Amino acid sequence: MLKSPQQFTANKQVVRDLQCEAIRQHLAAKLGKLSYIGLPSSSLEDVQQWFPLFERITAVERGEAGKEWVLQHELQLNAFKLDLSQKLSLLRGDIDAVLIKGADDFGNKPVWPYDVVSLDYSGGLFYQDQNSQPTRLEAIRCLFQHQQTARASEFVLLLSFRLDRIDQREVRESLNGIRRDLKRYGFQGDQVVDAYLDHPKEQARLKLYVMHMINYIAVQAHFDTTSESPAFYFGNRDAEMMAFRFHHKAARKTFAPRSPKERLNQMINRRMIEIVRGKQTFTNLGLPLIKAESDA
Amino acid sequence: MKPTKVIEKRDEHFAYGSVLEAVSKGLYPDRKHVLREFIQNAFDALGDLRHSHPKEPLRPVEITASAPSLIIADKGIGMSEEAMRRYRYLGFSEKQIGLHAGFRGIGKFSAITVCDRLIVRSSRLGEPKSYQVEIDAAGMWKRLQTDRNPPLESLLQDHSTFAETDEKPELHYTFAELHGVHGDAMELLDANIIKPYLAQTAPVPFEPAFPYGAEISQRLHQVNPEFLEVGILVNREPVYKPFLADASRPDYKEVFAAKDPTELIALAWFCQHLGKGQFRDAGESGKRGQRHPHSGLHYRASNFTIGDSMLTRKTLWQTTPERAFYFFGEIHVLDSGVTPTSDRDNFEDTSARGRLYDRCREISAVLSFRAGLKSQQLRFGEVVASGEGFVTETVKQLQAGQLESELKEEKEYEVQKFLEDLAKRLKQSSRSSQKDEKNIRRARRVQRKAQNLYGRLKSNGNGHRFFVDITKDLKMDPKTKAVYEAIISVLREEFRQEPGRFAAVVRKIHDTLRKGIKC
Repeated sequence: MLKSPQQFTANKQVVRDLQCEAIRQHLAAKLGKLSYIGLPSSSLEDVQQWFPLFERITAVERGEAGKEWVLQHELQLNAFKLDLSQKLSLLRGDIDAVLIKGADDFGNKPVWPYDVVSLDYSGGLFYQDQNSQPTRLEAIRCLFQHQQTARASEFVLLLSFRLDRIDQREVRESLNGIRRDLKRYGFQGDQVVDAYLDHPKEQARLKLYVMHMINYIAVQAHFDTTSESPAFYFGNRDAEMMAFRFHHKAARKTFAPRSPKERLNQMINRRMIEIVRGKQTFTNLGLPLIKAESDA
Repeated sequence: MKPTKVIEKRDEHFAYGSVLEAVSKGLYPDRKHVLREFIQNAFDALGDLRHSHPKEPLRPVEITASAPSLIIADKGIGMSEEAMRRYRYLGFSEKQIGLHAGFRGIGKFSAITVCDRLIVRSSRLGEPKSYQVEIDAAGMWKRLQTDRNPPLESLLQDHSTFAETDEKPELHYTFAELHGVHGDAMELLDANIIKPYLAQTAPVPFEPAFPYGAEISQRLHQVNPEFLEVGILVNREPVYKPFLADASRPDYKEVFAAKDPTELIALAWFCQHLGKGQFRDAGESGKRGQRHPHSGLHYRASNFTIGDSMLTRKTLWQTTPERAFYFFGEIHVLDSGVTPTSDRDNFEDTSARGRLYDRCREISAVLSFRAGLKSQQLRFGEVVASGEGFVTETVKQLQAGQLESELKEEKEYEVQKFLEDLAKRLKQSSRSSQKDEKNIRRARRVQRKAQNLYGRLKSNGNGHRFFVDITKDLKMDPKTKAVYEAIISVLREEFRQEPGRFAAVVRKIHDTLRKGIKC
């Protein structure tokens, strides 16, 4: 495990440590030869921390509107100064656009598959484009398609975002869909789902929503998912953040997608991690656990 | 008449924007030369680092070619604040002719013709700052068009910025980004184009597979302590100087000034083609059978290629110029008075250049002699081989009793001619300073065989039946025999220049006679 630098907030550093742990645990056989795509800072201190784990790093940098080249130049300069340039390549543009279009603003393409995909969004998950399309969610779906096409055998997905402009309709519809599925599988779903829907913290609903959504997107691309406990914390400027970690393994036994391997009750019953002032605590936020109908 | 009134100085400009066009577009019609200019700067920076801090490792120059930018980054000595401020000056350079590959202070402006923006950041070893110059090339060209040739100074000042930031003093680098490479310069973003270009022109090391690379580098370093090879990576892949297989061990030729035989003005190394004639393209560059593009000698100054192999062919070879391509190699120019032209396709036309070309003709004389000798040896080998085949075949025919008596005279003549030719070539080869001992031994064996054969031909086989005498086989009467011999005599005369055809006709006559005619 690499030493923590001081430039991340204490909470963010805990998240980074959890992410590193997930990579080491799930991809132990390939450490040192991993490939990575994500959104490193232009200073590259985050990449530098994990550098020994990776053989190939693709950094996506959008830059500031109107002077995109400034941050992009900075990122490449820092890579050179820090002796990272031999492993690092740059894609210029918005990561969602890169995932959806399959190339950056200048036609450069990511080289799939990647062992680690890091979507560290500074904004919310439900970001929509000018046509009100959920770009981020669509980008995640495209990510799985790229990995499937490139015949990835397994990979770790690190997803973090602000609790910003949550699409309440989307989340509620999704949780009600979970309610129906729970009933179908013989679980006492109503009480549990209502508890999530009525909970004062968005984190509760997003925990279930995101895990469920990722599982189902993954299975469409023939990947089984193992979810780690999601974390929630205050980031820079007290922004409310959540961080998820998933391990996806290719499951191509049938042409037709199967149900997710991770069951709904496992997702519901998985605890969360609350990070406060650099300390992590497991919590269920007072939410009920799920029991089967037969247990009633 | 003495002037009585001082004219007030006007606000005048002495240079205008169109100068920029001349020194950029005019001097660099080949876009790849833009890259060469930055490589030269990187090379000079690494050379300066080696001088000032010999224990610092020399890291490869890193080139990243990926739309929309071309980046050239080095960890040379780096530039000071003053050097970076002056980076925006046209024609200013603190570099020294002869010591540095670039020295005119105009190369950097080549970039503004191919991109929208040039961003250069540099930090000098030991200084706690880095400096950035940004030149808005797109803005400058636009203004040149709209403002009708504005003064050069305002153009450069208004469209460039200078900034500084803190940096770790132990870091030293120069990082140049040509951002927004234009559509007509896309070759600069194609690694498949720039790699071979740099392999031929830049001071890169030899391919590791070349068995003599280290030896040549060492020899060059011995005569020129300033000699420097610099690693270059293009999109993370190393660039190496090409070499040709099927070549001899290198040989070297030192060239001294005529007036001062201790003044070394050039060192050449060359490898000769072990096969016949020129190095030929085996098809790697799509031109199978043609002269190999890497053959010939190239001039190098500060280890950068000057011109191409046609330059050496043109300037050094007065006779047998095709022999230039029986070799590949380099002529490293060590005379600091010989200066490359701006576009590096020749040297400036000065007396120093004249002296260089004049003295370097010794190289072509040596190579021409070697090529001639090699051709001679190859031809000798061919003659021995074909002669051996001929002698062996003839002996077989005689032993099998298959040789027609009509052909005896021709065979004797052939063997005699072969023996004369062989004796001459053996004499030449034995006298040569570069004897081909294996071939000489083989030639002597063949000579003995041929002499033996000749003796047996002359003595009609020493009583053994050697020749096929059809007149005897068909029991021709004397008259018939006389007619037959007359016909053969006429045919022999007719086919004197074509002995092969005469032999074929004789065999046909024999076949025909044996088949159907009874005397």
